[in-house]
Amino acid sequence: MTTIANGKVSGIPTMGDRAGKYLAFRLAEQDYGLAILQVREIIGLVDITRVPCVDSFIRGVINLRGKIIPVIDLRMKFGMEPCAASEQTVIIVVQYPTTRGEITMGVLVDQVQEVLSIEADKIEPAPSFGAGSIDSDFILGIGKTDQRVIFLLDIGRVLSGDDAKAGVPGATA
Amino acid sequence: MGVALLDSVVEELAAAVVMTEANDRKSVDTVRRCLAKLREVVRSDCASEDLIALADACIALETRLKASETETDAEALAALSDAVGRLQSCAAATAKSNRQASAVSPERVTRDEDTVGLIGEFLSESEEGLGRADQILMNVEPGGASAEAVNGLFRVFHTVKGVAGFLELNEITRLAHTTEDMLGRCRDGMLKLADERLDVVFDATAMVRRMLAELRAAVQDSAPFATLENLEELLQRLRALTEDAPPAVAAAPADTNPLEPAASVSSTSHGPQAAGTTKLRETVKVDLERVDNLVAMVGELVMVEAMVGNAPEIAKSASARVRNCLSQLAKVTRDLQDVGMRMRMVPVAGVFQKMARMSRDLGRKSGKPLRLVLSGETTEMDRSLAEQIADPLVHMIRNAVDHGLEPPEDRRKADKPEEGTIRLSAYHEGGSIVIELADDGRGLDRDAILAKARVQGLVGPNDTLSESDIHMLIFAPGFSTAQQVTEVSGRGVGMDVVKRNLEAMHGRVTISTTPGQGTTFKMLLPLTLAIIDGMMVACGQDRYIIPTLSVVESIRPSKGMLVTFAGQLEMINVRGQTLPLVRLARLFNIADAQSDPTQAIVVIVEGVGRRLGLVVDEVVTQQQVVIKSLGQGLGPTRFLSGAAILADGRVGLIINVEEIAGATAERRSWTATDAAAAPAVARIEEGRP
Repeated sequence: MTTIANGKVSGIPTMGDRAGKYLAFRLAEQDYGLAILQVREIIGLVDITRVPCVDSFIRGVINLRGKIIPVIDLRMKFGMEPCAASEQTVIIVVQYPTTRGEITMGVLVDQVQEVLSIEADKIEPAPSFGAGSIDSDFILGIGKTDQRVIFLLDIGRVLSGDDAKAGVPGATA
Repeated sequence: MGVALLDSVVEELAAAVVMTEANDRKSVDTVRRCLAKLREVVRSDCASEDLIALADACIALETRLKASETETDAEALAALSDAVGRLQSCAAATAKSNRQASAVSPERVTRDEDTVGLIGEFLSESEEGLGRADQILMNVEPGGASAEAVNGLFRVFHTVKGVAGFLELNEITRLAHTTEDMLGRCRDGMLKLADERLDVVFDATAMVRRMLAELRAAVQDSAPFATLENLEELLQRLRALTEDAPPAVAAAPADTNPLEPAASVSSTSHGPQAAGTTKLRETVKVDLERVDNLVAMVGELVMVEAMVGNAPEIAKSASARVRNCLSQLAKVTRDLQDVGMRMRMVPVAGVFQKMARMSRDLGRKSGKPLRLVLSGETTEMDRSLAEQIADPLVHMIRNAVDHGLEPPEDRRKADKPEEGTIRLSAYHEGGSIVIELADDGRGLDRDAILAKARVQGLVGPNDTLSESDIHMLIFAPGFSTAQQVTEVSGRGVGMDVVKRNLEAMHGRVTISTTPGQGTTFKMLLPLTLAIIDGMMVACGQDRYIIPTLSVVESIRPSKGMLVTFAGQLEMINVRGQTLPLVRLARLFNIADAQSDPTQAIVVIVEGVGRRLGLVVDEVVTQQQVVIKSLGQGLGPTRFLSGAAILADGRVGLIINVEEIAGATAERRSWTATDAAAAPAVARIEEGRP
């Protein structure tokens, strides 16, 4: 199964390519990591304007220095309880390429931790959870440092599934 | 090669379908001829299976066109235009893949960077030149070519020839050379540039343009530059028309022609002079994205400037000097914003020229001599608006020619000059740009329109409509698709498209007409797509912006105005008009909004020709907002058209009134009827599938 996960899509980097720097953040007591190159900045929690009639995990839109970007609640995306605002809640602004150009998006997380350098031999491929469970496609691998286990996420894949479903650019203005 | 031919046939067919009208046998026959041609080409061609299937579908529709009943014609035409659209995209895809295929083959042409750069320059220069040629040709027509005009044309082709020769683009060189030859003789007074020769210059211009487009595509795909099929034919026509001349002294090839003063602009110079019509402006070509970025940054600057200026700390402590500086800053930022906005503006001349060209063809085809008078071409509008206005204009001019202008004999009887006049003008009025299209034809026949609308059920038998309401009926969807009101009255083909397009641009259209003297369509457009006047409304905790252009009025309803059908369909009765009521809170799932309409505000809005009442808690303010895209990643946001950044830095969402009105219409398609009849109508309409 792991071999399938590895060689499924040619665009997926090999384990060796996955080594590098990751921004570690926390979501419901568990650590996750985003490739640092996809992270544009981290901003504190700001007023989020709710957008009606969209998926519930989309918290709304914010004004990022004149540009309007959507903010998603990663907890809700993963089927957990919504993110409750606290002192440590932040928005990680990520940017990733898609077939329809670059997308900039805010990701609401409980807390950011640090930037970790993870070597190739510390990254294991994600195990399969079988059909019916949460899609594990977007887990790049599982990184291990000291005593911690970090899920390394491919944010483009986390979010692109919904894009494909929507099939239209967000606005027509 | 075959693909290029197929392309041209498909293009011709598409043009024919667009120009066709159900009850016009002549144009229907043209379509059938094109279809016949298509059949031949597809059979003999290497076309893909998809293409053959689509073409077959089109051809099958031809049999339906044979039956000369107008009703079936209209249906068949609609189906046909649909099929042709698909055919076009399919053919384009085939052409592309063919080109790519040939790019992979050993035929792949490598061009070094310098050559590509030169070709790029050549393309943009030549396209500019052709634009000028078009302009000259348009101006030539009424009076016959002046020496100056011929000179101007000559220079354009001469430049094209020079550079094309240098770049070894033989086909373009040959065409430009042959055209130049003929023009040279016209210039020397041996030939007169009129009628057929003028036509052939038109065609040559169009051909060069197509070749340039081919070249551009070829360079992008590193493919060899293909020859266009009709080139030889055109060259022969050109030569024949050149030979017509009284035997010339020496038909020296233009290559060896000494460069006379008139042609002194050498092929290497940048941008030959225009034909003495307009003065040259220095321009710089800038990537559009950079301009947009700049404009966006300036927008932010304005916002930040306002934040600084309004900060209470500063207001409290600032000295006169600081306040002075701040107001200076404010002024400079406003000016900067103005300059930034203007960078996206282009004159409407480009669009107008296209219209001039089309009306010329239309006039010829319809057998109605006409003159298109342009004015205000220098009026500037937003680039994207200028692009979007072209489509509605085509429809409107077509209508003016088809239905507005009378045939020459009728015009003579009415004491009008045989030649019809259509005026196309652009000007500023208030904060809007106005594009006006006026014909001196027969005017709208109000009674016929009303009668037709009654037959179609758009208007109830007892309704009284104002004059302008009646005129607006021609924009109603479906009003025009069936046969015309009568042979002599009613406009309407594609007019609903016009209205829809204008609404998408946040614009609107008004009509004024005088029987026997003509009709004037006045299109009001915002200065730019980027800024709108908005009305900010509150609903629960949320704030939304409604474009002021779509707002008719806002009222606090009294109990008596509210009607509910079967406990669920809410309506509001405004001065005898019953309109559906949409609660924003329900549509957008807003918690803790005002649930009693008599304590709330009803904003009457109009979209896609339908009015409805939008229930909101209160109207907060009116303000200009900069429209921004909601960006990707949200999924479909059907009832929102964008977002704007509000004065406090938060994001406000802009409501898409057209979509909401459209959705209401889907559910319950009543139109303006009197209050008592409304529920009954609703029931009937809902009973339909």
